Amino acid sequence: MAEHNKYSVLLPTYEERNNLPLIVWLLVKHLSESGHDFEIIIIDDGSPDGTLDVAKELQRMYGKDKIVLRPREKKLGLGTAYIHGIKHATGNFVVILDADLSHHPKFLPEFIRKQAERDYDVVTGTRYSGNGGVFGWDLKRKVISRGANYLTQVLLQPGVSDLTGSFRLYKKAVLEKLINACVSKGYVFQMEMIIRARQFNFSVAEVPITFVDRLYGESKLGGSEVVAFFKGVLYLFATT
Amino acid sequence: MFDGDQEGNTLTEPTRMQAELPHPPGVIAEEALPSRLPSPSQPKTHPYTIPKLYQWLLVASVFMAVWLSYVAGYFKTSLRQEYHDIILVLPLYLLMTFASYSLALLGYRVATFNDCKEAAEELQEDVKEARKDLERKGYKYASDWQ
Repeated sequence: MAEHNKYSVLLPTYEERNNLPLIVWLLVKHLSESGHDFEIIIIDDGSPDGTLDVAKELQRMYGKDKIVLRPREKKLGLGTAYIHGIKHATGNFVVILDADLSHHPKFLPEFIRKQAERDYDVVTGTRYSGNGGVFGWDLKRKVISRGANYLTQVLLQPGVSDLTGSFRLYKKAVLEKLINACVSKGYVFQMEMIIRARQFNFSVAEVPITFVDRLYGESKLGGSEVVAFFKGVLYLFATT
Repeated sequence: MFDGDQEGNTLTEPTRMQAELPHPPGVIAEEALPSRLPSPSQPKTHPYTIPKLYQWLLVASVFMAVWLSYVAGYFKTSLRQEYHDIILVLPLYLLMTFASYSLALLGYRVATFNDCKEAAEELQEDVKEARKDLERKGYKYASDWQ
């Protein structure tokens, strides 16, 4: 009865030379310890800081079956990075998380356990319920985040508490279908994926996660992000 | 209904079938919008659902129609004067209630937003351990960390 599951972790990177070895090490640690079969697919968008060299070194250390390199010439969208990444993914599940260490791989076994509970199509991490939370946000950032979240809850009624989180586990076929149905980019892309999941009647479960805002490097939430976010919410409000 | 803290919200199995059915022609609102995904060969296909905007508009216009016809005196009721007075300001009253509720909830949620200090400390420790182990395994770019 125990069918064999394999998890393909997609890591789109851009200028993550310092974080990449650490996130890979943590992924290998937590997925090996919990005894899951996995591969890590690194999609580097031509980072000038040599992230790809680091990825190659990691491939040498951990083996070609564990670390798969799918580099691209230049910076392209997140959605296309996923499409590009899953084209050669050999797992039946796909894991998506940020490569900047804001998502801790220690939660992955919990995602996998949750998925198996009722054969969910999607499991998404949430910062807004249970023991979930964030580190490194000031009051202003918290108000914006909570306000934006509340707005989406009221307008879109998505049935999940964290729409913009990007730490997720998908069945591979489900992810492919969702990506093909999505038109947005960036932040909004993550939100659209989960809204479309509801539209397709895919089952979605949540796991509380902690989000540690970038330890190394810049965190980004500018005015243009906020504007893009509101545009995205309105677009989904009017079309889904 | 506005509470977002639902855990493990699931959609039921039988309805999934409907999603697989091709939608009737002519209902893909998406095509009119500029697609920004650079894969024009792939059609955007998803089941059609009534957009939330129209759901809101429908509820709001039904409510306003009933309210306006009451205020304009299109139908006679034998409501007491107090009730009549309340109904006159009902839309404003509802709006204000909703705004207060939202603000209170927002304040509460910001105040109770978990500060995951331990998570950050744990990550620092993990990073140290990872670097040490990577170095021991002969990671070529360990000098990055010096």
